[in-house]
Amino acid sequence: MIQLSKNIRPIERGIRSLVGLLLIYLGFIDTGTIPDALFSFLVGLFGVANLTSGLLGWCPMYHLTRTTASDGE
Amino acid sequence: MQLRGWLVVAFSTLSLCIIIIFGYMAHRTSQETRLNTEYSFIQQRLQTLSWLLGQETRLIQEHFSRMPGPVPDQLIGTEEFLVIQNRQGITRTLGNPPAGWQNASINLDSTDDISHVRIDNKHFLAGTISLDNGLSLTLYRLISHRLEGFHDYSAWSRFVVAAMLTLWLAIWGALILAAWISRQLDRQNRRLFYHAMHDSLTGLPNRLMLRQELERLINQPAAALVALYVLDIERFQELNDTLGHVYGDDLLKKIGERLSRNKLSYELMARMGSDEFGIIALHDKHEQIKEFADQINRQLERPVSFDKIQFHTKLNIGVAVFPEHGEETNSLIQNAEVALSRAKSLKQPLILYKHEDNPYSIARLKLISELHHAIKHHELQIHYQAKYDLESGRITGAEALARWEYGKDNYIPPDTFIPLAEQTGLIGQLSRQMLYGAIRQWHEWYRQGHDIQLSLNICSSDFEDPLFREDIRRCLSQWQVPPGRIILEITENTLMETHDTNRRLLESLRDSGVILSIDDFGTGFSSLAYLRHLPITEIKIDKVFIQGMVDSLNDRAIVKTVIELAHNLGFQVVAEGVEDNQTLLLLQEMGCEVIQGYHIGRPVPANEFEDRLTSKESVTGP
Repeated sequence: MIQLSKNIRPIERGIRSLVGLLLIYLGFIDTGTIPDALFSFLVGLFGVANLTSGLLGWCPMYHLTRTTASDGE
Repeated sequence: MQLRGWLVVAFSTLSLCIIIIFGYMAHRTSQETRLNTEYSFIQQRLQTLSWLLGQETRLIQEHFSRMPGPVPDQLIGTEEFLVIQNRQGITRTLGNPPAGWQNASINLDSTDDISHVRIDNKHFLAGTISLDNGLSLTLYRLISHRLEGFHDYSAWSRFVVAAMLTLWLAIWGALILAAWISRQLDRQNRRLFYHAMHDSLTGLPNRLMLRQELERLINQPAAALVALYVLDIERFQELNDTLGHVYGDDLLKKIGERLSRNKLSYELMARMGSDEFGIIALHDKHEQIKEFADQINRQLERPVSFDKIQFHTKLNIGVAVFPEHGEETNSLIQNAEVALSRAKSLKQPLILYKHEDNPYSIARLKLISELHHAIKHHELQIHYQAKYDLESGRITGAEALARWEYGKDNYIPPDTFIPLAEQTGLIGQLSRQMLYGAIRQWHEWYRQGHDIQLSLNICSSDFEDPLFREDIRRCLSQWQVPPGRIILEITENTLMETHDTNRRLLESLRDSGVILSIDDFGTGFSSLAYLRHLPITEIKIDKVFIQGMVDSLNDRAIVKTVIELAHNLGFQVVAEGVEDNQTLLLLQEMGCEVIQGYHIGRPVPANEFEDRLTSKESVTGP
């Protein structure tokens, strides 16, 4: 079980949340800016990922890359 | 982290290159697709126009003869114009051609050809078609700016999003790779670290790790005592030599297992050397040290069994405790080892370090180096202590004694520096300096008319050194000193140490003519019966007995007996340490020949001694 301890600093959390919101807007709400359906979906997905990590304060990729570098046997 | 940074930069750069290459390719493809569309559009349009105009051939011919006339301008759009040319080369235009269109070079040789034309800094595509009636139509279309790059916004947005996603993936890729690499490196480092910190044979921590752990425990603010036990296996070398290293190694492994942490409670156990283990334990009280050592020994009560043999292990343990036996790691380890070597030499199972026992103090090292310097620079002086003949009432001899002046009016006692010189091998040089100096002095006094006997102390290493014997002979003949005037004093203990060979050596010394004397007689375990066989002439009774003579009847009896026995065996007797007149009188009564001590005179420099010789002063006098 992955331990959800915070691994993002507050400033980065804020930036991530804002970027996430912007990307969700561009991907899912404002269909005009990115007309291509696939691409707007990808952007929206990226936005959701960013917003989630921003709100949780925990980034799975940081978790994978940072903590595995410091623990292990 | 540096690796992560580098990888992110490298991957971002790589992804940017990929984005640029793919972007360029997409751009070119899009442009070409657009152009091809435009080409086919122009050709279709020419076909349409020619068909339309074909209906009006007559009209056109008329137009050519009567120009200008009504033209169906609505056929032509705003971004294009049509040029009609007849066989005679007369041209007509439809639409709104820019002013310089006639100067534009256009290849009209090939039909259905489309070429780029530049007119008044505007780019046109021109397509030509020839009609059956000899007319040729050329359609010029302005190239739309949309053909320059991505033709619309959606392509741009697609490109930008794709580029961003690529970059994002590249950065994550870099981070994952960095993590993977650092994990590998970490694992490698851990392995190296493990090997650097552990003993390969027993798998126990090694001396380095013990040192680090000790450092850590010493520096942590804990009230507990940090005790370092250094263990050494008795008779390990014997096992190694008789059964071989395989068994020795096996024994070490087995002992390591026996002392493992689940049986004893300690912080760390390490293998410190060949058969030396170190254990760091925390205690609350000093009493626990003995308890803990007992626990260690209990683990080794059962013999270690090999296929054929059972080996009873016994340990010597040296203990040093932080903070009283060392404020820092090095001194603590060193002192525990000092305690261990003491335990080994005393054959004791456990020795707790004591500062007094440590022969390796800094002060001692300093003194050794100063002694070295003093001997090298002939800074040690020779003092002479008078030997007084009770029969004649005169000074008949002197004992030459080394004096080391250490600073102003401060002497280091011979009891301190002579053992140092012996242990460090400086004694040979010191003895020679004394020998040369004293013999030269004898010669000097002899020239002044004083013929005395000069006593010199020699130690066991001189005694066994054939070169020393040779040096004595040479020096005596150099200064024309009759060997009979020189007495070499050997302590009883030295004689006992070199029991087996001493007789031959003494004989060879005696053969050179010098007189031999036993110094400090009574402190060792030799008997007069044993000494009877040795080629000695004189016995010096140790001052312990002489100084106790006045008060102790026992001492008096011993002295009396020794004197009598010595006389019976034909030895001359010298009494050392005579400090008062009462002792002198007692000795005189007992028939002792020669006395020496502060009552007769302290050791003094040669010139002062000379004054005494000249004054011929008697002890019994005022």
